[in-house]
Amino acid sequence: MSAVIELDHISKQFGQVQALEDVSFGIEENEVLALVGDNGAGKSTLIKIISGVLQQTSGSIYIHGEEAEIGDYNDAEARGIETVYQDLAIAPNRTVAQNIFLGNEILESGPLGKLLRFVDDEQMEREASELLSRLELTLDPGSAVKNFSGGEQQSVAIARALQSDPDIVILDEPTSALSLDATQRVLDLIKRLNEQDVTIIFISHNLEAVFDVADRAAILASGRLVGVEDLTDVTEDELVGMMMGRARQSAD
Amino acid sequence: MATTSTSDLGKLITDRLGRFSELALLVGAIVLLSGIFTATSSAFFSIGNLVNIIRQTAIVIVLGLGMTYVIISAEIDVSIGGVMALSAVSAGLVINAVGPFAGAVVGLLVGLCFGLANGLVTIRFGIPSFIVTIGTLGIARGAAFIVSQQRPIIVRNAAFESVFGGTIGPVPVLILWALGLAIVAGIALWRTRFGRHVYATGDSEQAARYSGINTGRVKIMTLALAGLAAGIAGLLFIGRLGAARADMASGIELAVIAAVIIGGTSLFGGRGSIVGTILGALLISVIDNGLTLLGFGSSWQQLIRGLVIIAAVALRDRDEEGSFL
Amino acid sequence: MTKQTNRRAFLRGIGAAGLGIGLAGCSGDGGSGSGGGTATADGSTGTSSGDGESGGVQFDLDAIDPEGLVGQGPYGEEAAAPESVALSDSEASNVQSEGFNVEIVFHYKGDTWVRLQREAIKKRASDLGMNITGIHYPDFSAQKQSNILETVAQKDNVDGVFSIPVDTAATTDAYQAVLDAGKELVFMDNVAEGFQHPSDYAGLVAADNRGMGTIGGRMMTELVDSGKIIFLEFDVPFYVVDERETGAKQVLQESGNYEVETYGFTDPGKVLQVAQDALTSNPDAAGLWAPWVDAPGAQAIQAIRQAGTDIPVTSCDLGERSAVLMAERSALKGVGSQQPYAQGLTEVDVMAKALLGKETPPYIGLPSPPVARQNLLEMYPEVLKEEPPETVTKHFK
Repeated sequence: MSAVIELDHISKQFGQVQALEDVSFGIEENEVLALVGDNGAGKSTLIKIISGVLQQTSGSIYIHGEEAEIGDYNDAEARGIETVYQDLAIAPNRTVAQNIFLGNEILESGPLGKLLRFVDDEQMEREASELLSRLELTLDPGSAVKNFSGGEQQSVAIARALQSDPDIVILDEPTSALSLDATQRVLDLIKRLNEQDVTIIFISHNLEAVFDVADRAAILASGRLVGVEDLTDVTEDELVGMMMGRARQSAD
Repeated sequence: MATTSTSDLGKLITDRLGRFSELALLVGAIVLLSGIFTATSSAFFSIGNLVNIIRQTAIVIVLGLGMTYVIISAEIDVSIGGVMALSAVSAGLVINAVGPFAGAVVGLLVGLCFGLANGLVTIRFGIPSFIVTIGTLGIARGAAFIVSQQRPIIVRNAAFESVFGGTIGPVPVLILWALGLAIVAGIALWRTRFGRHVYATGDSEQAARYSGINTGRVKIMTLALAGLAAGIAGLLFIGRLGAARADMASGIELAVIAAVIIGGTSLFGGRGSIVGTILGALLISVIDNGLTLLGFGSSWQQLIRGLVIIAAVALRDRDEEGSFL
Repeated sequence: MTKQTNRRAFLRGIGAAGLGIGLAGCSGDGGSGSGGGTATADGSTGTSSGDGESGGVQFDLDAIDPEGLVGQGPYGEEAAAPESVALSDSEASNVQSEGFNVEIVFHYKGDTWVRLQREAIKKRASDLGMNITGIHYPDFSAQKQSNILETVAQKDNVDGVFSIPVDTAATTDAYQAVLDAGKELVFMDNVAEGFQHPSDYAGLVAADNRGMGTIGGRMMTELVDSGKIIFLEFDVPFYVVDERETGAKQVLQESGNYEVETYGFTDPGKVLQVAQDALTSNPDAAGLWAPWVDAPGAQAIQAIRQAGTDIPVTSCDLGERSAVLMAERSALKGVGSQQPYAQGLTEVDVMAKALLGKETPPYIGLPSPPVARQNLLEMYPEVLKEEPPETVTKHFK
């Protein structure tokens, strides 16, 4: 099994604050990796470095063995990495279709042909409907996102991530704001995506969810990597202990 | 900005019709007022007067086009009056000294440069556009006085007037400019990718940025457009009045912003339309015109204009958080 | 005019420092020195007179008063007298029976001039049975004034329009629209560029603005023999004010004894700062002239007070504010006054004649009387058509 993403001595400093220190581990292709840790452990920061929103202070990222500079969202997208953020980062007054295709609007020829291309709303709404149905959802793609419930809005954010057909999807706290029902739906979605050969990294405080869908868990505490554990091999208590910084006693 | 209300058919209908119903309300208000004025003043509903109304609105509309882009992108520009004055004064001097084409180019360049400057300073230095444009307002206005040596610059150039002033048949050229520019601006905002990015930048800058949109560049462009619009407005002013004065358009920023807001654009960004701005500007003009015909002076016009602004915002949809605007 | 001033200065120069009274400059026998009781003549050389002394300044008002009109009409026309358009009884009753409609388009709302004009026009119009269907104040904006004129031109029932152009060049098209609509035009203080009499307008009634400036200039020459004069100028181009500035500056420059330091302002309500800067830059200034009192001149006087100097100020326009300032012996020593009320009455007469189809003269000028403390109580009711208020009279008790 090869590492699709290899993090090598990643550190991130914000002024005086050391958010991440010397984090090194690999994410296997087609696995579901949970990123766990207490508040302030550096999980979101790590995610943002991989997704291009932030840049590491030192260290390297390797994607499929090749060193990668991920300077912004477009670089990440080009490398097949998409992210769904905890606060969703959707535009509330824009429609579902417009959000899904934000930044990647589909164009059609305008009156001046190739010189002036217009946005093709019909095509976008059609493809949006299709994407949403894959997530087993029917939402009116022409309706403004603010009209929908929290869970539905998150589906829009996920659909947006899937629109570019990514290899790697990162989810930051995908279940924290949801009802039990919606949580289950998201977890099912993660499993289904993984079956379709998408590598998934997700941050969660919900250890039940972690044990349910994840293959492995990477534990961060105070900016450092405490360890990466196979979830068939570790108990919840041990996991919590590692999140609090206690290195795991090696199993025998 | 997640909401917890559930979607249902009613909401979907309101949403689709929402934008449409706001504009319909505006059209209704204009029609209603026109009806009242027609009944109370014999001069209102005549070709001459209606042409006057549109002609008197034309410059505000042109300025409003740029301002709509800026406010939708969640910025603001209060320098347009000063930039317009400096553009006009510079253009006037060059028209008289060199020729109409050179003068027009100079006027446009002045507007564009100020717009770009507004954008660059706002984005590079992270200063709120409100403050930056207050500064450039002073700079532009002061420069206009200096450049014109505090004298009005009379421009009587037939070639220039044929392009920017006068009439084609019964229709004032000014109206054609406003109409033409409005169509271009409206289509660009609604149908092009850039236009969509303007909306997205204003609606949620984070969402836009996380989607790979260069929001800084978007804002610089909208502010540049507002500056360019001010330059064009300056040329149209010369076309209409045959003179450029450094004190022209004093306070026009507020009238333009009022037209944009009445037209449905939210000061917070992300919502608005060119059609709305045009309707907002027309509403104000109809009120001014009607009151003048009925003998009410500028004090009444100011008072009623203020009430209209408040009413227009109050009658608009509240957004989910329950706040207006 | 010029010769007199030069000779005056020459004599003053001879008079030397010690000989204040009698020989040169202001003498106690000055013309219309009624109301103001005793006055110590003031003929200082080279320095300004203080107002802290008892008595105060006495002007030779006869000498200051320009005989006749200084300025001519905008096209160089000689002026006709207001009496030349007085209506006969039959003409008056003819006008009354018609019930004409008129509108007034001012330049802005600001001040006493506008108020008095409005009152005068209202009064005379009502005497003659004319209805005023609209009064407009376009905030000194050429564009707004054009809009208003175009709109008024559309009103079929309006027979005549009184107006003072904000910008004579920029508003010509709009005035043309009024003309094309067949309405009579009577201009106040200035004419739209290129308009001909009698084909385009019925007449122009104006104050002698250049004379007002001249008066202020001459008063300054009697207050101060030589030295630096701070000269406040309104930087927004406006004929009425420009004429005053020309009149005053001409007097000062032609005498050769004064150094004129010009400071411009664009906002009449924000002159305090400008005046403070001028005073700071010119600590040796001997006097100050402002184009009108409310608010620029008054703010300049405030700046002088704050600076703790006591240089004299002359200006233009008689209103309650300038009256109070003169009565209380502030730095304001005298003004060239306009007569907006008389002007307004005359304007209506011109309009009436024109509406009856009678001939009217192209330019009627109203002379500008000089007003200082010494004749204030007499001139106040004459110009402002009301008794001076307590705020003024209490200083004369």
